[in-house]
Amino acid sequence: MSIFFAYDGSINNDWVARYAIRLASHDEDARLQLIHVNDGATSPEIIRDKIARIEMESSLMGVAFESEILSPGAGVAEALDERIPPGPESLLICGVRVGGRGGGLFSGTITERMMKLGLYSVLALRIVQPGLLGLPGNILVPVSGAVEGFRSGLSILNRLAPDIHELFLLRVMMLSRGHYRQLGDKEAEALRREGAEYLEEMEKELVAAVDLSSDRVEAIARISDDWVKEVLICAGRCKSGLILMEVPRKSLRGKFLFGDKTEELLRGAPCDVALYRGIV
Amino acid sequence: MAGQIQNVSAAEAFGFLQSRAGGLTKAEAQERWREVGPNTIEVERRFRWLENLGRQFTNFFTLLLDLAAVICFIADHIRPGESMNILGWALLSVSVLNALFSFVQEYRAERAMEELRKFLPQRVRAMRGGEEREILGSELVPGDVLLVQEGDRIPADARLVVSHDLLVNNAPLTGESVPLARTAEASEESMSESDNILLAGCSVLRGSGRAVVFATGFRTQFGRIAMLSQETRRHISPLEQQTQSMVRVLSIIAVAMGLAFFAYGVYAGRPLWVNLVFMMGIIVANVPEGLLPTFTLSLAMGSLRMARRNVLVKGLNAVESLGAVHVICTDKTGTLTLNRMAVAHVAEPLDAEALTESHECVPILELALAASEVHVTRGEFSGDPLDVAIALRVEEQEKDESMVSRVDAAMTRRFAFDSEKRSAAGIMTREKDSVFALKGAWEFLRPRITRIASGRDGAAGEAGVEELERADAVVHRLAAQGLRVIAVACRSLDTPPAADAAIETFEHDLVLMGFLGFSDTLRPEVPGAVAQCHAAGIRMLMITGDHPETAEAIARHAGIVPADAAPGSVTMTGAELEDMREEQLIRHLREGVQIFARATPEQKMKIVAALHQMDLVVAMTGDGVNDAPALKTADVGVAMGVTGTDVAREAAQVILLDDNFASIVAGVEEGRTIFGNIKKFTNYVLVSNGPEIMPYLIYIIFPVPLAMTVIQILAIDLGTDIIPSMGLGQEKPDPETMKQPPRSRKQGLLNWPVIAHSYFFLGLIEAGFSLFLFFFVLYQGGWEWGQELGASDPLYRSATGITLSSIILMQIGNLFGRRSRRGSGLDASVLRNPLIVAGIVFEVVFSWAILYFPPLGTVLGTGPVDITVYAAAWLGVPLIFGLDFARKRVFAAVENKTHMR
Repeated sequence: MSIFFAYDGSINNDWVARYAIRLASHDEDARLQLIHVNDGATSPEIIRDKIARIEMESSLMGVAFESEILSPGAGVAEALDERIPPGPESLLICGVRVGGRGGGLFSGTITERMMKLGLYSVLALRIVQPGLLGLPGNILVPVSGAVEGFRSGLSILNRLAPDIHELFLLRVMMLSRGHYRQLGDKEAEALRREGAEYLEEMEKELVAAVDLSSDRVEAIARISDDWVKEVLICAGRCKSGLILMEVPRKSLRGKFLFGDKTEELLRGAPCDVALYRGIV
Repeated sequence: MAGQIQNVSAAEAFGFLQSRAGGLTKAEAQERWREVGPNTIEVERRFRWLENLGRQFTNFFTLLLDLAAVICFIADHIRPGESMNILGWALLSVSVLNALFSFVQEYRAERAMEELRKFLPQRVRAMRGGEEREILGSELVPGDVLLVQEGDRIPADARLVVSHDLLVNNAPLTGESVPLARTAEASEESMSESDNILLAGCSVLRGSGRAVVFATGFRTQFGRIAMLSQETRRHISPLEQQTQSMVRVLSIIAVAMGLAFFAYGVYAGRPLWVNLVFMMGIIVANVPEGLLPTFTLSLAMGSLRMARRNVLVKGLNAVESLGAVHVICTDKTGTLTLNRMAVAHVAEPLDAEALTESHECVPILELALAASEVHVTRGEFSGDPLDVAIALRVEEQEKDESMVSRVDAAMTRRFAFDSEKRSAAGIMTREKDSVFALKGAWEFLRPRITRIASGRDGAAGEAGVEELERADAVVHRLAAQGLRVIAVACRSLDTPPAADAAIETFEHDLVLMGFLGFSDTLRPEVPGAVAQCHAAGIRMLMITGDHPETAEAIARHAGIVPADAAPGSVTMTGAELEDMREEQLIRHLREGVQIFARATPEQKMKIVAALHQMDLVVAMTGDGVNDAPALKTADVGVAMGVTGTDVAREAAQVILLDDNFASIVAGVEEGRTIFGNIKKFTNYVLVSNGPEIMPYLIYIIFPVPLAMTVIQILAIDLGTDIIPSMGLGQEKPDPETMKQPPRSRKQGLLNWPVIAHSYFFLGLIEAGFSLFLFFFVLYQGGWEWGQELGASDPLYRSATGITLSSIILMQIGNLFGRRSRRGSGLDASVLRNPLIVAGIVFEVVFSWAILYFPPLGTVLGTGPVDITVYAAAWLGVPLIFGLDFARKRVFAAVENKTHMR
């Protein structure tokens, strides 16, 4: 797999670099290709110094490092698209940071656009715990009912696996607010069982595909009317250093009714968050 | 990259966080602030309070009341002058008051955050742009260089880069108030175990240092506790669940009946206004408007009674929730025990038998005292509880107060308690020689022992493998008795020690002198309370940081663990729990695990979550800051009033004013009594629904006047039924209360037996008798079948008056019957319940006044009847009471027969 790191020179990206290096270090090639699109936001001297530091950290981890500075041309996204070969063998790592339209962390950003294009796998990270240095320890993986989405993230999980202390799989069985408030015991039990059975299957797939023994995996099923809240609580309880999840597929109706849940998660997370959209 | 920030050197830490000794520049700090936000522990969620308020105003019951109010206003608009607007306002007021009350209750829960906020400093000293500056704590960002000194609170998680003799207290996070030394050296430990990390919310006890911030706000370990306390939703209480279910059922019945008869009225060609009023009458008659306010009053009075039993209840629902608990998860120290340590056992190294003779005990105690630090303040010892216990035992053994001061005078050096080694030491001069005395955990001392002073003569022999194993056996035996074991050892020093010699230079070639067994006395009332819990079918789980054997011994003394349980079979350690999945934990809990030893407060949440998966109602005790999330997660969070932190008290729903486990059990009894009483008055109130609905059904089917108006229904529901209901809410506990198993979450307030009894038995009796009097007055007054009567017709007013009056009087008979499930309800204690007496007096006076007191008659649309008719209405009291009593006897006979078979 070719791992590309879209570097914008921001402090968040400096911290994202640690994850990029670690992911690359667990790849067969152990190679990281940094791409900076020179949009003029940061001076070239600073960019050069910062890239030199990332290169040094890469070499300490035994990762072959290459860097490229592109001119923006038609735009940053276009420049990246031209450079990164499409297909499942490419993984683009980038940062999620303040600066999107309307002050969004993810919504309206170039990262969101790249994910929507679906040309290659994208992993977007928001770092709030730079002290972890890309070693989160415990990881929380919330899964939705979409099995394909989960499967598309297995290659990323495989690269994170050697550094994982414990992985928590979380399935939130979502109900509407009214339904949740009136939920009866029998229905709750049935939902819990459904969630647990689903997770059991996911866990089997995970253990088969990723270098993780099942004693390092824990499955948690919860019923709620607010999945973001459950993810945040679970992240706190499990002492997760990272929440890794597929980017929720938004619908206009969902956004209108429930607001932008991805933004809510990114803002409220007590730890680093990695959003991915993989292609298989 | 070697690992995380604690694993790298101080210089590398700066590099990884893109910082430097002179701190961040203003631009760098601003960029980072934009990325990670302010260093505050709240998760910013705008309009949270508005969301809560909205939720209270949109629950089913509130909406139903609002709908009824709207119908009233529409009816008033169509046909003014019928006082329908007043009714509308009354219904709206009940709805608003209920919603606001619930909102205030919920809003109070947010106060835990205020207490947590107090742990973070407002202003901090940090390096910015190469200069030392005082900045707002909220402005700190990762990479900032923080300056700390003695007395400071730490504002963010930070990696030490410079440390000058730094000691910190991490009690807000660990729950253990012990000084911890902190250095700037790289560590190989995990972040939480490292000694180069400063954690937000904790305090600096001594020294100073510089640290580079790596996590701020709710991303710090302290912030996570705050976030969990804020975000975690308490499970809906059993009473709320059952009330919601009851209100839903009643509301569906009311609305369905109202709409059905509205449609029938339209079909029959009645005017729209009549149909609207009629529909509303059906709805109002079916909904017990007074029930929810009475619930609230009953719970409020219950909370006052609980306060008298040292149980302070913050949220009204917790009053009843405590009565519904299936499991009580309790701490040990201070809750089951008195938290007063005493030296209960002095043993020589190779024999667990207790030494009693003074000359045998004193040498061991003297050395232990030399390794302690005790001060005498106003004639009393103060210091670490174990040290104080040693001093007290010395005093008791020697019958001489001066020994403590003699040892104190002989001390040349003291080494404070080291939490990592779990030991303390001192050097004393004895007969011109210097002696190094060490006391502490056996695990630490064991490898440093080379000789053992065995035998009653105290002669020291070699410490071979066999001797050390015998010493191990002594330690296990004492621990199994519930004692906390401390080993005491010494070493004679050939030369006087250098003043600055490190303690490590003395910690070898030690002579083991003996063991001290400390016990924390069980509270005398605990075994009785535990037995009560067993009888009441409540399971107890002990969660403690103590050694498993100590914890199990205390649990056995208290009666928590059955006497026949094999040692260790009911105990699980925190380490085992940590690696366990939820389903595995559930399996162990089902298999009977009752003790979680060496457990941390953070693990409490895992235990609660597993118990919730088992559908159990859980009460959880706690006192520390890090207990707050578990207290919030449990159905009933119980904080300690004496030793608890403000954060724990704010996160909990119940505060034990005396920290005593027995008080929880008293609270459970009170809670169960309250639920029993709620059932009684719910049954009582529903009975009057029958005679309220029946006139409307007859009115729509037959060509007869309406026997009861909406205002008259409300006069019962929001008037005469209230005080007797409150009286039933204050009934004394049934002797059987604590001999029944906890009720299932599924057991509702409203079930078929209650509906059948209320509506189809007692309700029908009341309806039949009151309608009989209604038609009796009409016929006596010359009314003919099918004749219409106006609302102001004196005959109609008299007839509806006697209907209302007779229902109110029959509610007195119903009231007596509800006091006891099996008995008559007529016993001496009626007079001991002033509210019941007041309720009866009020009902009697009201039943008279609606007929013979014109101002009230004008408001309610009633008129007088012949006094003999009013006297006949009194027959309803023995009628309903007698028939209900007969039913009870029949049921009892059937039950007995079934039982005999």
